[in-house]
Amino acid sequence: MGEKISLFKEDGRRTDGRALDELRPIKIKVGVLSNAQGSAYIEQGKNKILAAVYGPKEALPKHISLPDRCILRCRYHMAPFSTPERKNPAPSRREIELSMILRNALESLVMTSLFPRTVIDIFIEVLQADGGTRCAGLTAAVLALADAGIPLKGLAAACAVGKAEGKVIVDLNDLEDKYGEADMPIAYNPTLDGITLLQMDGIMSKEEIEQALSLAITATQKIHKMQVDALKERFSFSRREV
Amino acid sequence: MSQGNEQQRQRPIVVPGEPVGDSKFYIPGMNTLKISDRFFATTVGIIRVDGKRLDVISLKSFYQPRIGDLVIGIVKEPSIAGWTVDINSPFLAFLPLSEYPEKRIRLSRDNIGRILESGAVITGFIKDASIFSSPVITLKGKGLGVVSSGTLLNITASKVPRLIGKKGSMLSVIERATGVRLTVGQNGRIIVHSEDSNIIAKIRNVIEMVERESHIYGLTERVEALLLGRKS
Repeated sequence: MGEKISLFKEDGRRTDGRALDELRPIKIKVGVLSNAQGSAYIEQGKNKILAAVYGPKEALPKHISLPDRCILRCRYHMAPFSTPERKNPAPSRREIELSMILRNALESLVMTSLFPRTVIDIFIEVLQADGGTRCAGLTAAVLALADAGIPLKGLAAACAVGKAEGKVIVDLNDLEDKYGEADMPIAYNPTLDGITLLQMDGIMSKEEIEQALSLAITATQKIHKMQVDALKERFSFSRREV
Repeated sequence: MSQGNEQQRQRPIVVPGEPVGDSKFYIPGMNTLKISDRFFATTVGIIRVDGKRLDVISLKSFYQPRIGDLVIGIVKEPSIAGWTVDINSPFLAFLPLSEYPEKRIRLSRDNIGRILESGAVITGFIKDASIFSSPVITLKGKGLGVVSSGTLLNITASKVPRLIGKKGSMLSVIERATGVRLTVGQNGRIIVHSEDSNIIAKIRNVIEMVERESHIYGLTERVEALLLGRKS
């Protein structure tokens, strides 16, 4: 107790050897589940996340349907084996809250008015967690929606920025998330030049927030490029399903 | 042809949010989003320009019912005055009793669940479609009704025009090469009027090829080669 954890090495780099504004290695694959209408898999550092989409389909029970647009249902869930200690598979308070937050973020991207009276189900399953799962989950969910053929107002990408030992850092891992001073997940849609998700936990000055925002937009633009490449790869001729 | 050459002959794929044109030169069409003067794609697809109209033809999409479309539906269940029908669309269709070709059905006497059982395959036209209510199907018309035999296959709804081809060219190539008749619904369902497993496997391969390679030039030749067992 009371032992101080250092989040930076002597050379100024982070514990995993990254620079302050460096993302973790990202691997994205689209169309990984043949039973779902759309799916995507993302590895961001040690995070491993699957996203699947079903729908649009008739909203049941009928009273939940809306006459002018479709509704989105989102389930963010962490597998029992996703954390160092077994996680109770029942949805926790945090998972219920994140499901709602991700649904709201995705709702602003989907052209819901094209499918009145229907529902779209989005499942985000965290297979292995290492900080920043909501951001990686959102990045994958957007791709799963596009893979399902659902019309979108652009592809949003998400990345967390934060502060550790007084320095603004990008793409926080689990250690930085737990022991850092602030954490600010952001999802950015470059097409609309708009932020679709912004949360913050911790304390940052106005200048730090401005710096963090600018770093987050640069980072999400890099992730966005990877999303575009993964989606084009999925539909390109050279790809063969095995 | 090497794979490198084939890739060069692909029509470029666009993804949601990708700029595809601007209003100085085009009018925004299907699957496009206009933001100030620029158009962006809203689905993964290929660009098609028809005069001034710019469309993005989706590589994966849902069937949106339109009046007059021939559709192949699967009866889900009977309801108060008709049947609900799955037409491979986000919306369930309704087949009213009045649109069933049998002349006299009396609700007091007849069990409509027996007239058309759940799971029955039907071919019909979309009689009414609006965003406010369920699409309505009619079975009144030549060649419409309950399908008693054949094999049901599926294709993405947006690929149906490619499967039919210009003036039915692709469809006639398939029918000529296999010797069987196909009924293609605009909703992406196909009835192969045969139960010969070899022919069905052949047609399934063709459908998979159309699904996979519809955005690459020379598809009809490749389909012909596949059916005749030639190397393309």
